[in-house]
Amino acid sequence: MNKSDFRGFKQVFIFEFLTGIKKTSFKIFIAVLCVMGFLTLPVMTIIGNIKSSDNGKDKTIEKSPIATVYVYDNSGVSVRYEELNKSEEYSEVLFVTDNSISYDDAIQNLKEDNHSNNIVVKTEYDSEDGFDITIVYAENSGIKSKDLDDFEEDFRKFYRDEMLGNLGVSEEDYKYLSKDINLSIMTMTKDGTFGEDPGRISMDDYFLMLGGLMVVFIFVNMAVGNVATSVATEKSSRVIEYLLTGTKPMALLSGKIAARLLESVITFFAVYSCHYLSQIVCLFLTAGNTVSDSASNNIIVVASIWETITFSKILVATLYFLGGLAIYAIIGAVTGASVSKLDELQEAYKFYSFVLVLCVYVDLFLVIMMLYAGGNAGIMNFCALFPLTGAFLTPALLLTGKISIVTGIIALIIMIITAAIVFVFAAAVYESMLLFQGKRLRLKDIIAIMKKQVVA
Amino acid sequence: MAFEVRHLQKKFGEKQAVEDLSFKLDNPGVYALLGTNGAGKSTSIRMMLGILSRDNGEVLLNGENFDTRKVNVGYLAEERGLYPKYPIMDQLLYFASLKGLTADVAMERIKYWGERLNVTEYFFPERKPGKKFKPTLADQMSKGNQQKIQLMAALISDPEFLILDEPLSGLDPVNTDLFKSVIREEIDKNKYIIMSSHQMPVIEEFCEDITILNRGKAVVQGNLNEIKKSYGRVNLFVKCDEDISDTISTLGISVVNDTPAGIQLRVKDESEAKNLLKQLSDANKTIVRFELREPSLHEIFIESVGEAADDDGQNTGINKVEDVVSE
Repeated sequence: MNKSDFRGFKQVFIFEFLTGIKKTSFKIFIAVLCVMGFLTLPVMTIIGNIKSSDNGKDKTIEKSPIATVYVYDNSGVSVRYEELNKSEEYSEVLFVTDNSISYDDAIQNLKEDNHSNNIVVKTEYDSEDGFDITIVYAENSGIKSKDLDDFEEDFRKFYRDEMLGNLGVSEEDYKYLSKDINLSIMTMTKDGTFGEDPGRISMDDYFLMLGGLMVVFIFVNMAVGNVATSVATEKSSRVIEYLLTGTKPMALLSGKIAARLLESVITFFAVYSCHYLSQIVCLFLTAGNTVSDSASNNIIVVASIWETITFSKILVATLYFLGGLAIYAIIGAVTGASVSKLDELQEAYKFYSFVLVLCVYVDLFLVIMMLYAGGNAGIMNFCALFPLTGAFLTPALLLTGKISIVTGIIALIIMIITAAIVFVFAAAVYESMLLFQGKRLRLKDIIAIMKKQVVA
Repeated sequence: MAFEVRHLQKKFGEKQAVEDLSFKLDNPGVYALLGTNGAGKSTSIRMMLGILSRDNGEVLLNGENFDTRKVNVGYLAEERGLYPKYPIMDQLLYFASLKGLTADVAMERIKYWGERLNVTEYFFPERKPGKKFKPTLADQMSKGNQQKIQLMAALISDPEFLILDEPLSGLDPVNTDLFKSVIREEIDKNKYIIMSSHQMPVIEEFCEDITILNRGKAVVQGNLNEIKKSYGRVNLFVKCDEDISDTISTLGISVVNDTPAGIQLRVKDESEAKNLLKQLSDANKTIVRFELREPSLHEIFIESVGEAADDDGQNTGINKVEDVVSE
């Protein structure tokens, strides 16, 4: 490989890039991603706000449709059910606590009068299992599931308050006891580094990794599809013969891949810009005090990533993302070169699809394992360092701090070396395959060509 | 400038696609490569252009390795190719950029060739007010017009060296004449041209030097006039009002063809023809036509290659995996 092998690279790159961004499929792809990037957070915020205001409205205005609550308290806790009547929602609900009819009769009554708005509540206490509260209602009653959800939530809170009241806990102590308990598991390494347990991830990290994996998956698929189609088109339309009089296969291959990488970078920044704008919109929407906790949390979660992110992490993650994209694009180019007709391309994708699905599943397995069972250092290092799996996950692992910057750099070096080796091997077979016009080349054929070329 | 091909060889698997092909162009003009389908013409051209690796041999320009990325070469491939779904303007600008042309120069050349080949309307269509401009895509054009675009691609860089692989195949008579006039112009500009064709009259019209390939091997090679001379004036065409078959059989002259228009004979030499003329004259036969001439290129081709060699399907390119692996 020498400099003259890349003569024409610039022209190929410009042509591929310009034709790529002019394609309707690309325009639709970037538009859909931008719309998603822009709308996701505001929609979630608006939904959160609506839910929040709806909840507020229900509590002040709407009365519960429950008519009578038959209470059978076998827990031994002294509960003042009449206190529930003090809230607006349950002011007209009758609480029957005197066991004037037996529990079985009350249940029987619900069966016989299946449209009644009565419910039966039974509480029990077991020293091993704790409190057990059962609520029974008639299937055809006018009580909606939302009303029951509200009742369940309110009853649980009321019951807890009564329990604490029984124990003589003051209101101030109660507030103190109600505070959130945030637990962090930290590790101390041999070299004195103190940090979070790298094996575990929070639900937020889980969604970020999953999201990152999906984003890379989409970009990889787009790049591979474009490169493979472009190569197959040049072969099937015989343009390749003309192109090869002005440039070398190596320049064609690298020009196409570079164009796809630039497309991906532009798409990524366009989508991120939309997402950033959406955050500004969200801040505007949440400027009042009506925002719900869940809605504002979405913004906080995204913003919190930046606390652990450094410029070096972003740089390594970006380079790694591009390296992964390049490796898969090279596979796409070889796939495209293995066919003589465009309609054979779908069949030729088999090998690529197999590799892709396998690597994505391995990454998914790791992410799910990290969430539920804690990570395994061996699997995590494999996924992060092996370029085909790392392409989907390493940037997310790095940005969420699950792997150190040193590991990230090692992964990047491995990625660059692998991409270079794959490129050299691919370029060797690519040149021979470009002029091949016959039945589709299978993997064993490509390996045979590769052996021949490499030995030569 | 001298272009030279020395001992070019190529094997696809066990098949010898090209065997020891050598020729030289010392002066501007057209060199013809002839042969049946699969004789190795396109494979030879691909090797000359460096598209296909060669097993042996050299391709030299002024004694140095011929590199199409350094020399301004125009190439019209046998297998015509354009991106079907891309605008033709974009494609030509791309091809021009690969040849090192700036966009301005390329645009000027597109205008010139568009007018010369009557395809301007596809590059610069009339813009109707209120209607969105839609560039012409390659697959929206007829086959003949696509062929014109490909000729434009070959000529856009004003190449000093032109390789035309079957340039006139598939063209209607009007476009054939148009293409011929363009080729003639290029010859007048003192270009070096290598042309392959099945159409013998075209070769006779344009070419001075030829190579006839059969199964990858050069079977006839040299200056066309000298080749014809070497065959001698042995083709005799005779037409008389009377029946002259007895005279012909008496002299033992072989009949190639006997038609109402006349009898085509193959004589051993000019003296045999003179003898026949004397016999006919002495017998008071009315001689309408008596023409002794050199063999046509078609006749030389058929004789050297043989009809049976046609369409035997050999060496049509890389279409088996073994062909690639055995390279």
